[in-house]
Amino acid sequence: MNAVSPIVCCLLCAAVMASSGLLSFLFARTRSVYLWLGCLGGVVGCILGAVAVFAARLSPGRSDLRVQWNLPVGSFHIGIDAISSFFLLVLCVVCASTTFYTLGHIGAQRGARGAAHQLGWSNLVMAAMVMVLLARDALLFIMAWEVMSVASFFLVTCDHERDDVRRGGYVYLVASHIGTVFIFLHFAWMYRHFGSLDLDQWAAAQSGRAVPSAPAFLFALIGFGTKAGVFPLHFWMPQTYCAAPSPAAAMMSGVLKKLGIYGIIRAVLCMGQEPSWWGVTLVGLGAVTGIVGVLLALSARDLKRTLAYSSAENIGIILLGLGLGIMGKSDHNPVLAFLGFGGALFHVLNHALFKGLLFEIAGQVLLQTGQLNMNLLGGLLKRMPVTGALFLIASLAACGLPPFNGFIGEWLLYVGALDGAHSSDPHVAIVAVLALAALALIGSLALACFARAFGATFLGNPRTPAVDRAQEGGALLLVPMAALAALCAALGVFPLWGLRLASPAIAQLAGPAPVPATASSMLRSFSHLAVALLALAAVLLLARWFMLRRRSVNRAATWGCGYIAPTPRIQTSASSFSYPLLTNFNAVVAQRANRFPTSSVFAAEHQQTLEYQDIAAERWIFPFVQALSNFLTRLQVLQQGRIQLYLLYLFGALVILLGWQLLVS
Amino acid sequence: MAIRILHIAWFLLMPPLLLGVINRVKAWFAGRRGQPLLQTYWDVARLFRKGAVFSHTSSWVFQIGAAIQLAAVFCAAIILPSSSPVSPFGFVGDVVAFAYLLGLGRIFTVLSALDTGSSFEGLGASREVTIATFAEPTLFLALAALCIPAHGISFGHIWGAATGDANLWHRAPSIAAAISLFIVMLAESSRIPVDDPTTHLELTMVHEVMVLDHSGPDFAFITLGSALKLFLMGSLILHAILPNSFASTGAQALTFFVGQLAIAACVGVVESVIARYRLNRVPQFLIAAAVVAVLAIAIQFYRGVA
Repeated sequence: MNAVSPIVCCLLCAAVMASSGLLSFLFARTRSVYLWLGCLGGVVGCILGAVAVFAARLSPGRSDLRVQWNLPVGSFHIGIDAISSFFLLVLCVVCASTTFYTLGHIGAQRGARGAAHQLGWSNLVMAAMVMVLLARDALLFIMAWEVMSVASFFLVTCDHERDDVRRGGYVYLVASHIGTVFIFLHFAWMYRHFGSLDLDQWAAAQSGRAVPSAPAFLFALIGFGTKAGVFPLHFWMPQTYCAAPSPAAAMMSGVLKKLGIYGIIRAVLCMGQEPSWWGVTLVGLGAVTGIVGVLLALSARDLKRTLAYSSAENIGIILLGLGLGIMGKSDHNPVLAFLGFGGALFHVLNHALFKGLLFEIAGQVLLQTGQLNMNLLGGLLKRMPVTGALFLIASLAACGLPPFNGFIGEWLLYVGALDGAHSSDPHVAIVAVLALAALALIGSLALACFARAFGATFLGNPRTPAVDRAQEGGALLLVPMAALAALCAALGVFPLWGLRLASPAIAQLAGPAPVPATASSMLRSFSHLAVALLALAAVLLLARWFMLRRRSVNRAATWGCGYIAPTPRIQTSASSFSYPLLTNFNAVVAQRANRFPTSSVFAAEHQQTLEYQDIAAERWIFPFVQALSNFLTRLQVLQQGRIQLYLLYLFGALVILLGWQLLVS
Repeated sequence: MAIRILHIAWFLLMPPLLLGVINRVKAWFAGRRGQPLLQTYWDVARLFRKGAVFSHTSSWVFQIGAAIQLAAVFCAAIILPSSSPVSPFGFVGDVVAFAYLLGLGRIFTVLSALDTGSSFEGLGASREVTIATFAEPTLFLALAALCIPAHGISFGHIWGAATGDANLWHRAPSIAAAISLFIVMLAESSRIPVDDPTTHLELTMVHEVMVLDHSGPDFAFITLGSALKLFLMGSLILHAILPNSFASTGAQALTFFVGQLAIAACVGVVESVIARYRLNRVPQFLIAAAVVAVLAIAIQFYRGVA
């Protein structure tokens, strides 16, 4: 293992992914060739990436590679440090599962050409993400980021015959590039300040100095926040995730959004001593993103939309953790710093695992029933028992309930917030208490959201005949999903493994203080509690089976309080489940119920529509974009389509520039 | 070892007695004699001897739901101290694990309700999560108010450090937190004015209607679970109010026992005197409890205890 250079391994990983992607395009006519080439290439690339991560752990310290290139600025400088290797591990695990899943997903579908392109772009996105994680030079970073954005745009619009897919892809492209502009501004600001484009030089020059710059931080936050889906820049998510094919949505939600978080972390690291207002900003943004995200998830009818908004909620939790960690660092509280950053990084890993699994299952549901509207599903558990069980595990993990892995990350953040409440600095204490309240609210709303999603889709009676043709998927589809679920359970019951994985990255973020002993003892005690919980549940189930074995057990219709003609449509739907809850949050998610007046005294039918409005998107972003578009349309008068006019513009611009040069020099 | 057995014995044996006390107090207010104090024990024993009827619609989620709910509440009871200030099974950060274990129990009851495909049970489930949305942050704020002066994040730290100061100004945050916890207890164990535990009709459909389809041993598990939640929240309140300095373990145990009965009697009084609130006033009620908890935290920050 020591002989394997981590850098070479990572480069090989990116190369294998990129080449298998390009080969998939080349062999787009032959289905078996591109399918196996693309998927095996992706999985082999992920394995190489995981090998690189473990090789990097065995040879601690930074390893990098620097090559001069022909461009006027920068150099080809790549390196792998603790944080890069942690995110690379997350990427490899989730992408291996989604690529494997793509094999079964495409195999179960008709239609050849779109599938080859999907695989090709998917592998290219993975390769670009690996390069983003490795890049140590700002120009190389931007180049890899752009390739990632454009390739993921093409990945999202694979099914481009459909109108909503094109629209979703377009919104994604625009949002991506808004983010890229701000990232570019951030790098330009740092270049002007330092005179070089090397990220390592920025970090080395700043360490110990307390002169960070606010505009650089804000540019980085807006730029990377657009990719991560921070409020109010989360508007692109639902349309994009509904438009993208399900394996792509799984990869994008699990890994691509984390690259936004990686960017924020890298920017904060490069800027050295962080003032505490950055931490307060991140905590505030995180709390708002989390609460708005989960409320919008409760209002969505489409399963993939719910999962997309729930990703925003989890990004909010991660940002909250980063904010708490930064506050801990500036307050010289190593425990708070460790718990804040630790909780954030744990949640990065856990969210990637359970969200990837949730999107894969949503893809299965769409494939089998052709329907993602939760108000038209129901009763899928009896037809797809294994898939339903995996969705239950993923939902419990997403709610952050013990004994699954989602609880661990949130638990570290709670303990961090309670520790921060003891701080002598009143600002830190107040923000910590607010973070605690926000986390509790997000947690309870998430419980409602996932109980609703699982209950409406899998439990109860089928609401429409679309459910009747659903079947369990083959082993090829179930194995990658079950692998992710097993990881969710394992990291929940044995969280010390997760701590061992994440501790180099946490140490790089929080400072060189050693792992607080309380953290490991906490997680060990929780292990015991989780095992006790499972054992108790088993004992009670055994006792129940024993008691019912010799008694009469009958089946009957559900008690309906004497109502003699129940239909599947009278059961609680997804919309009616969340209606009482969302009535209380009208200021955040505007609820509009149109009740058409009843026509006669003994009315035979009644009609009502209920819709929810995302305030940030519908009242701020989209009207602003529309106004901007209207203004820019007026400038179309410049584009007459005649080449003589364009030549005149060129001539005019040359004259002006030459005149300027003459006047200035 | 004896402490561990005593700790487990408390929460295995005492909770159904609390339900009996509440029912007797309500009966006394109504001028009746009321059911025997130990009635809930006989009820649970009878339910364990019965068979069960399951709905055609429900699946294996319904079969495991009640058992997992009880297992989760049992685990929460293990980590919460009972008569002694420190639980033998506690650890750092167990306050959060406590709240989330109760959440695990809640989600499985909600999923069992949705599994029956009944409109009644689904309505009860949606109201339950609405109430829980406001009850959980209140619970966390109250626990934070208790954690802040203790400089530790475990139940053992909180109550190991409590001194039972006679000065009311020094005890005010704990008393405010106890009031907040009392209101959360009314919400968590589905008591009036949040929910009516004696009926499952439309007006009062929250918890009772979610368990409409449970029968036999499952219903016994549900009854034990809700009684245990009442016991656990009563434990929290007692530990917030009572001083820590006792002469002997026996005196401490006796005070704990009498205190739990007193809190159950208070719940009975509240149930007999107030009517159930309209459903859109319940969030306001819980937010008022949260404000009281924030007041407790603010008092401590102002005094500079933190």
